[in-house]
Amino acid sequence: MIPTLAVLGVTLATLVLGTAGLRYARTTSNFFVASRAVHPAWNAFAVCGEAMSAASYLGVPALVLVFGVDMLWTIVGWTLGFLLLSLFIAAPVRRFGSYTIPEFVEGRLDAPRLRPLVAITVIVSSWFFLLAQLKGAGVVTRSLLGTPYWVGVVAVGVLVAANLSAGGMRGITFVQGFQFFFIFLGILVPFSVLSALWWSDDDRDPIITDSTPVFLEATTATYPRTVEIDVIGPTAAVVDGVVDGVAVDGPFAFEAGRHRIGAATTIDWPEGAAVPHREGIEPLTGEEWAAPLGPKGLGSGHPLYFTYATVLASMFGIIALPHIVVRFYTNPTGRQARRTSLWVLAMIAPYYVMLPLFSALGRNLAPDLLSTGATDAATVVVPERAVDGLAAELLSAVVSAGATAAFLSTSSGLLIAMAGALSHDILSAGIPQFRRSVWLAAAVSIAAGLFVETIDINVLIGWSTSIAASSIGPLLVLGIWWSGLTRRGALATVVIGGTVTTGAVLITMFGLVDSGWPRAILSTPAAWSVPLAFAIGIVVSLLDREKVEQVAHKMALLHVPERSDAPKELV
Amino acid sequence: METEGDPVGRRRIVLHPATAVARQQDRARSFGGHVRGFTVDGDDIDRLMRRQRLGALRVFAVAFVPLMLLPLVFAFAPDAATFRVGDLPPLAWLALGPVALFSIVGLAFVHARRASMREDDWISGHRDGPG
Repeated sequence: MIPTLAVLGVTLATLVLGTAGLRYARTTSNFFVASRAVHPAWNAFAVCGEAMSAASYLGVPALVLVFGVDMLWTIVGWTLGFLLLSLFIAAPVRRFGSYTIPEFVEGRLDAPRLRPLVAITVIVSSWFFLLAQLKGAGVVTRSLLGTPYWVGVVAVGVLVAANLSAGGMRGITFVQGFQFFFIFLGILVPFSVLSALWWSDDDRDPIITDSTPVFLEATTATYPRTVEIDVIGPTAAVVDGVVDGVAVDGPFAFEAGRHRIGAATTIDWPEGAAVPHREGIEPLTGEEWAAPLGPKGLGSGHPLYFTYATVLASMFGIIALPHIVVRFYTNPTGRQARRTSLWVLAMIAPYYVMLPLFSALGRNLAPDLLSTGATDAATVVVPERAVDGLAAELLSAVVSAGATAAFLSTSSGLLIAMAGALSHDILSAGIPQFRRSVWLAAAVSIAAGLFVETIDINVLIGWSTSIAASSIGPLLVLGIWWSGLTRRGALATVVIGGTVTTGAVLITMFGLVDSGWPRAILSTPAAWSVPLAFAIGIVVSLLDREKVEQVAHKMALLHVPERSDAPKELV
Repeated sequence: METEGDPVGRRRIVLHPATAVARQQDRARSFGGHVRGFTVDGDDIDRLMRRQRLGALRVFAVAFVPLMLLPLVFAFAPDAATFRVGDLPPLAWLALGPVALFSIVGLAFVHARRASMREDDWISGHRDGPG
């Protein structure tokens, strides 16, 4: 009951605050960039609200739970990405003063025809990212309220679109700053409780075990969708549902081997039984799980390559994510934008550091997730199982409120980036067009969101970041820091970088290669596609005779500091 | 600068002709040698950009290179990765968690300070600009 109230509370507050933003949002500038008058600290809260998405809040604990320490490279890559933002992107992008990334590309290269192309890239990569958030919404509302998966997807999609079309960027900056506090508390409070448990109770330490996960107590596992599980030895359990196509209601003796469990089946696993892992999830001993570069980890037997690919994809993915970059346009000056990016780093690093504890304790507290495959629920499930009674309810309320804020806030940012690109860069600019674009983008995303239930959140995020990383990323970095970039160079970067990555994503998605190096390379394209995109941009620009005119002035707009930022005695 | 047709009683702002031209050109984004009130030329901007680029690349290398060596360390010395001090998590977990992340934050603060100093430096060399 308390968790449900918490979720409804956050949702209601979001609606009220978003509508309050309506009063302010009267001009286009207000709508897209909040009139560039947002204080650096509040803007940092808003960026954090946006960056702390379902991908980190739910996705990271899930990934680490399944694959172990190697997955920490994801958060290292993201943090490096925010460092890159601070070093190379935040201040110049703000100084150039465009509303959106496509507009920046047009202005920097005098290339109106490149603008819609970049806008499409922005929309596609934001779309995959938004699907991941909507999936998170479906999963969390189901695990909290017991509603079907689609309810969460539709509710969040409609709510965010309504809020955005009312208040625009000004309203949403306010709302996201407020949501940040819920997200941060949603991790900080359970982290404090869980770490106290970790220190006080040696049995909770998952790393010292040399066995694969076992149920430490009798556990009821609910399988939300049909899965195949690998039972290690003969196990007597109590089943209510469908096993291997036969309806069962009562005791059932599982033979060793693979079994098909029907959707909505519940199984009572006895204490001490080895956890039957879902097909595709490799059972790891505590030691294997805690050691890096394990042969059973992700990466098709090429863990070293996979490690580098993960870091590069996460890192470049952050600088190219339009909903993050667009945030710096809302600062008053370049230097303040840089300051915002610093505060973002300072707040997001501790947040990332706390996440793996949920996985570590989850190995013992919620091993059934490895069997049901609902690993994306680890963040919500682990804290409430660590304590009893009212404390469990309260902890669950805090975590659920944070999760709700996480996907609401990120979805808003993504939707504003998509609608901004659609209305400002493809259609004609204006508030009515923006509102229509918001609803169009939301409708398409909700419809697709209903079909991604079986795809892991971080797989969707991986696609999104890889596509953005190998097209928009190099374009931004080269455009800002190299005066030699030409229109043809930019075109080649976006087209070739974007196409090969999307191709690799599709090949993996449809399972056309399933082993060895080809799979390792295609399933993590960013490791090679990002350097390739940079190289293509540079080589084509060097060969191109048609240089951008008055490039010195454009570089000046990017890099000349504002007088108001300098100490008084210098001006 | 238009005077005719102004509503009666509205204040007119009269600029020095050079300033008016500079502002107009800045707004129209055609390169007139004036950006944000500073007189600049191509070489000048190039120097500023290169200085900032070198500074940022240096900071990035300090964060990136050691981290990229870490997987090799884990590959060739797996015992180091799983080594534990007392009840603390294994070294690999500490390295990829608090150690790496908080070092990156520290580096970002160092860079922001230096980048602002380079900007102030540049501004103090351009006091003669209009505006």
